[in-house]
Amino acid sequence: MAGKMLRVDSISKQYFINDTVVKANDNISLDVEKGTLIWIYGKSGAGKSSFLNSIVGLNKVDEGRIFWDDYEVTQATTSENSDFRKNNCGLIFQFFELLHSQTAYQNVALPLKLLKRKKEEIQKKVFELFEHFDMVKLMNNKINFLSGGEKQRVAIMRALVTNPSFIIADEITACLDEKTSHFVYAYLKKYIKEKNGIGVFVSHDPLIKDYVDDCYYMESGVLKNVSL
Amino acid sequence: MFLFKIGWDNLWYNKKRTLLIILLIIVTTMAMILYNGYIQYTKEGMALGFIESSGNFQITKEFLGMAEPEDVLISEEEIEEIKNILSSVNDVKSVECVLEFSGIIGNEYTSEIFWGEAVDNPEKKSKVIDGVPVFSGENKIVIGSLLAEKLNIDAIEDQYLNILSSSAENGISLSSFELAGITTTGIPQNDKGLLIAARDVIIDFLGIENSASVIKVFLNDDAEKHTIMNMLKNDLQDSTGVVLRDWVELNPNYAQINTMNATQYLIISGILSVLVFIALMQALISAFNERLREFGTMEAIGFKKKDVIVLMLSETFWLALIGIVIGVVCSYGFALIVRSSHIEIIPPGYSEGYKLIFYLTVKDIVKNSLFIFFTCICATIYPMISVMKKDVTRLLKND
Repeated sequence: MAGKMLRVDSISKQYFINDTVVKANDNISLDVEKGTLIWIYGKSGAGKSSFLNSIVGLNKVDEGRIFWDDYEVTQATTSENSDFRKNNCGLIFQFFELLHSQTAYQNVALPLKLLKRKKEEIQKKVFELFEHFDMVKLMNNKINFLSGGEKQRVAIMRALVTNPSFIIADEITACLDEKTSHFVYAYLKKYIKEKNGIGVFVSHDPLIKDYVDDCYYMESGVLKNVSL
Repeated sequence: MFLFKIGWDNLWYNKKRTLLIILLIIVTTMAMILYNGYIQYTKEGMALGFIESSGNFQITKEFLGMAEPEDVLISEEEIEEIKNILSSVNDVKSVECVLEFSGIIGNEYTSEIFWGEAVDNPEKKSKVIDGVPVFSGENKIVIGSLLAEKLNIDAIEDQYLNILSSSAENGISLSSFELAGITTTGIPQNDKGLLIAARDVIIDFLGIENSASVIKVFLNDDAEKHTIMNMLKNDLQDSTGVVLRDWVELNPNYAQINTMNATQYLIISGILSVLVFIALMQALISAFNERLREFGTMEAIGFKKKDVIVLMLSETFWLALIGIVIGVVCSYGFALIVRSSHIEIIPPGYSEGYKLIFYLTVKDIVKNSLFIFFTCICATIYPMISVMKKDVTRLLKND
């Protein structure tokens, strides 16, 4: 365990669709060290999202064990996994998954409110992020009034606002232009290195290649390490 | 607390749907509060009317088993004894002796049957719609409007009417009385034969001793009636055949009408709450289903199921709160408008109407509001459970 933060030990996950067994993840094992950013790619339906969901406890695996340091996701209860994600994980989704009734500011502030942080602390932290992502002018806009790229930046800010050690990202640059994608990848890489955390990124975007430490290809639920 | 804020914001994300639900809750709140207010007013109005006419309780002699007909009258000694006992009770407002008599009344054109009430202060007995009231000691009478019609009376001036009546003590009596005025009770059946006169004059006319058929006791507080009746019963143990009945016992239709109104209220409340329940549940099901991914995201970033439940309940809470508060305010305003508009309602079988008033009490408003509030909360349960049964990944897939 020393030096390893994420340890995935022979996990398998299967679904039943009309009595047909579909193997989403098939005996996957993986060790990721601190300060590492890994990239997983593969065809649609290969099991990438299932894998992401499993490692943060959104999915229950059928077999195998998952550890983040000494915390075992596979043995924890739903409630414990909620707390784990709240305190340690920053999740970024492909389709942003923002609360439409809230402003950009309120969306970013949400995880801090969930952690019951003080109002002044929330304001300071959220404002810093908006400044960094050059979105201060759009802070009080409702989500519907933002472009795809702006929404994704809000989603990234929401994932980073609690200073999580682990960033789990699913196709985060699908709606971003090349320049912004470079900015996002660079920012996240710097964040993970400084934080000495871990980034697990699922993406089809080849731009990510320059920013990751390790690369994996997933096919029919099987994860293979490939050279960059 | 921030979940309640998000719940509030969520309401206004789909304004049209939210406003329609609120409107439904407002209408339901108003309907239930106003209908309840109308029933309460009817109940209070009936109670006041019955008490005004029959007193809070009455003292009579038991007729059955009496050897002599005059024994059904309360004698002068008994009247004095009862008045003496009641004079020491603070809650007694007044004691009224009534001598009931009946017979035939006629003029040069025709004759009719009447039923009369001879009282000590006949001027207070009922309002006169034509002419003047009759006072104690006056050899005059006031008759019901329909009786006057049947007697072909066009003008009151110099009208004399012959009255034929009888008593057990003195047999048949016949005398002529001047018509002082015409009255109405608002109930045509009563107005057909009503006659009011002074008791002292009728005692002379019938040639009987000072007596009364009924003693009506009026109290300051109706709640004290049973205490005073029990006290009087104990003090009158020596008097034979004295019967005490309160106004509720004397007017059995009071309880019947109240039961009928309460049943109607329950049915209407039931229908309205079912409507609110179905409409709100339908609206919440579609509102929550549209936001499955949102709930999934919330759970993914660390919200627990209970947080999502609180969020859903908070949305219903706000909807119910806004709807009920506006509904209560509108009910109160509507009740004030109706009261100042002097709208009259004439019930079937009555010749005179009464003012439509909604009697709103804090207790009834709170009771109705809570009922609607819990109906709204109950309507959230099914949509909430259907969301809660889905795990995070299904929610995120909008499945």
